[in-house]
Amino acid sequence: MFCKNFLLSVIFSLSLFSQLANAELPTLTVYSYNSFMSQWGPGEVIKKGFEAQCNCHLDVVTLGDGVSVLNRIRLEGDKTNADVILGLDNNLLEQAKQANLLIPHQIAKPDNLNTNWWDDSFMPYDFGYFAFIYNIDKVKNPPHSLHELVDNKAGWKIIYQDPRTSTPGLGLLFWMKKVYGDNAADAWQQVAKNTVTVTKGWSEAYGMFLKGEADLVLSYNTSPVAHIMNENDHHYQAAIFDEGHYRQVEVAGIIKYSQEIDLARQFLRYLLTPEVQRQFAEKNVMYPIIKTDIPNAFAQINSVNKSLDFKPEEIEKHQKAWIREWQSAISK
Amino acid sequence: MLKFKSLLPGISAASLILIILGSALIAIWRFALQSGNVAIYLDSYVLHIVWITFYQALLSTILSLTSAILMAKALSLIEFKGKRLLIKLMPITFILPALVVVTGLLSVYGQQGVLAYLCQLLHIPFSFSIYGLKGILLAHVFLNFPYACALFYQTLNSVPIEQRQLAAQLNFSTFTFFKLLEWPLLRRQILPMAALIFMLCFSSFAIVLALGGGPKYTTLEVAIYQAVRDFDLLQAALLACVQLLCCVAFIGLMQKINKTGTKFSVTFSDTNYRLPTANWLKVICMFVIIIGGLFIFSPMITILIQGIFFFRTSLLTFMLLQALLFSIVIAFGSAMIAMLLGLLLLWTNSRLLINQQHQLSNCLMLIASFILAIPSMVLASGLFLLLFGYSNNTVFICLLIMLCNGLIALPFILKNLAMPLYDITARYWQLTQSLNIKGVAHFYLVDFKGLKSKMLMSFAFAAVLSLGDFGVIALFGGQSVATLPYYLYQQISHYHYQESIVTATILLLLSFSLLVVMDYDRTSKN
Repeated sequence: MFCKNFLLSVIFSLSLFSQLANAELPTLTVYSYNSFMSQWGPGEVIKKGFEAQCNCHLDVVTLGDGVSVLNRIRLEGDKTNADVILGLDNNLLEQAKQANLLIPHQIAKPDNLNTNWWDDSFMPYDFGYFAFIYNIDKVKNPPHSLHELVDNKAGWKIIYQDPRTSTPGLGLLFWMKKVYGDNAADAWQQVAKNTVTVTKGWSEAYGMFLKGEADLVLSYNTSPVAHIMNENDHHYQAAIFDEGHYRQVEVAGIIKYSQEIDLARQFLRYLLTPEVQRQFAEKNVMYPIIKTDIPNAFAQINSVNKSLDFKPEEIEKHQKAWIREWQSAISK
Repeated sequence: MLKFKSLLPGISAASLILIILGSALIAIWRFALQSGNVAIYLDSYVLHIVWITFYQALLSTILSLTSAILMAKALSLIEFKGKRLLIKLMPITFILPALVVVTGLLSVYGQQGVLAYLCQLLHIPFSFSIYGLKGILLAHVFLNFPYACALFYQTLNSVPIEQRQLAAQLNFSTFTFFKLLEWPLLRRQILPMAALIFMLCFSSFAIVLALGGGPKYTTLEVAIYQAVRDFDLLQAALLACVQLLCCVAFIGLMQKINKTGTKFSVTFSDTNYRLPTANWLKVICMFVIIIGGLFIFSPMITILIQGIFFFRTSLLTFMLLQALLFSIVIAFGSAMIAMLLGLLLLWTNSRLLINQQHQLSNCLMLIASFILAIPSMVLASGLFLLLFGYSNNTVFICLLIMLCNGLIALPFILKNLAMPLYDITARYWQLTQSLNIKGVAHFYLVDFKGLKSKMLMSFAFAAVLSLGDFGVIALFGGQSVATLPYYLYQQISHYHYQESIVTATILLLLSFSLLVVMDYDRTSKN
């Protein structure tokens, strides 16, 4: 009991002390998802780099995933401390806009964008494509199109994530809708025949795949990069589909209740600098949004030929109906 | 005579719980109404989910209880080396993060698991698929049956020695002995235990999704999580109430059936007396114990082996040690809170029972287990709305997590201690009344001295249960209070899968050692 109190008071006084030490500097508060600041995330380097040049203190608050971040700001409303929100994606964007939380970032569109995506309220900082990953030792002849995967003559076993609870799952839902349109329900029933399971989040699905429970798992086309960089493992590849791949763009924006709008804008600009972009490539394992020098491992993976996405307004309008369609199609 | 003074501890603890839960729910309703987001839908899908949730929870409960009784009986019939350790470690399945449970079960029953490997060696085609209803049931039995079994075993052992000796004289068969002596004791435990397991299975989430094989088998908790994510807070609160209602109805039903009228005089004798057991029965018992033991421990042993295999000293980073430290601090804090609330409630509960106030006692127990029926996301959002002014304070977040974890552990403490505490209070009731031993003195002289080892065990159990973290952290900000399970998810999300197994192993070892060290009974003779 004494130990606990002692420990807590030490922690408390330390945090108080660090706040006092920075009292005279302006503070920029960024809300982001958990993995941004974790030991392996890009956050720590970005924080140090920005603090070295801004003459300010950068406070990063991390919360669950992108949806948690958005919901927390919605709960806080005009009392929020957040100046910058970092970590929403193109599928969440319309919800954030409708909640009327942001002001335009007023940063000019750079010429050297890696992918054609720009928005007045949200500034993109990295992107990737959803893709199915397989182990080359187990799957000799992977599918070359979504249709091939759905028809599934080879009997591949699939694991994907629940669109109600996870971002990649939602991505697959849109991907299927984009390719199959009104026939999506039938296609889902077809998929259900060879689905091993549908998990709550990416971690469960990917863990099960690595344990050998399935032939294909829904993830990102850049996932093999992580295997190459972490353990020099070249056994995993993304199946590239002819119809194209659904694109995920990660974005940051300035909260309209912010008192430090200039600093926030400076931070967003900083995100587009080559050294930060490289951090995102290395540690988020996503493509940088501007053309910059990236780790070699990216050159060794299969690249996507065609990118697909829905307009944010369409997503906002139909998302619930599409989820219900998926739900009833595969519950049969 | 029931005095207000003896009611006070229980009532204050119960009202604290009600205030926390109630204000969280009301905060959500208020916020949802203010923000004008009032979409509510109770379509056929929701009703379908309610039915599926109920169905799988009921099946899981029945299966867990049957296997727990079977195993407990087998354990009570034979003696072997390592039995104490086995019983001590069994409830550990309870605390594992969902991800570790899934990984563990898959390394045994999966396509590339131990079972598949054995079949391959013996040239038997392996066609078992863990996914679907059977996967859910398997996981739920794996989680709940060891805990129930450990508790039932204690109950079976508490048959007074005089009765045992009498039974031996009368030449009771094992079945008669069970029916006449053990069953009446067991019966007091079974229905409350059923209520607890039912609630846990009703609100189970990640495991059901992972092993359920698709949204055909999902739980109401998934729908609630979805509603919170979509920011349909009113819908979330509504579904939370539906869930609460289902659980309360089930518990109420259990309490109706469970008539705890009979009084027992339990003696506390150190000498043990065992009825002779037929040899064929011993063989069956051995068989049951081996199967049960393998069922419980093989998933964990595979994780341990993998963890040792992947272990490198470079993995012992500062972050990991920090997570370990936070986990321990939070575990002890929550166990302390759970113990305090539990003892306050049970103090009053014993006195209610002595005064034959069964209705009130049931009510008290019901309130204490409410927390298990409230979805953590809803509670987290509600608490956040109430308290977000403090959300930047690490100490505050720590305390909040402790409180929530403590509340989660409370029902288990009550299960462990309610009957023993009542028995001991009743046993010395006349004496303490005549000697005017009350309050703290009563607690120290009677309750604490008599049940020290049981209390320590419950404390250890609550601590282990709280090693995992609670959904609250998702909204209050994570990086300041990163516990071990949190660290584990971080590793996986950065593709450090092998390292995450090492973290899981550390978590397992920590829980193992907590259970063994805290439960170390210095007075026992074996």
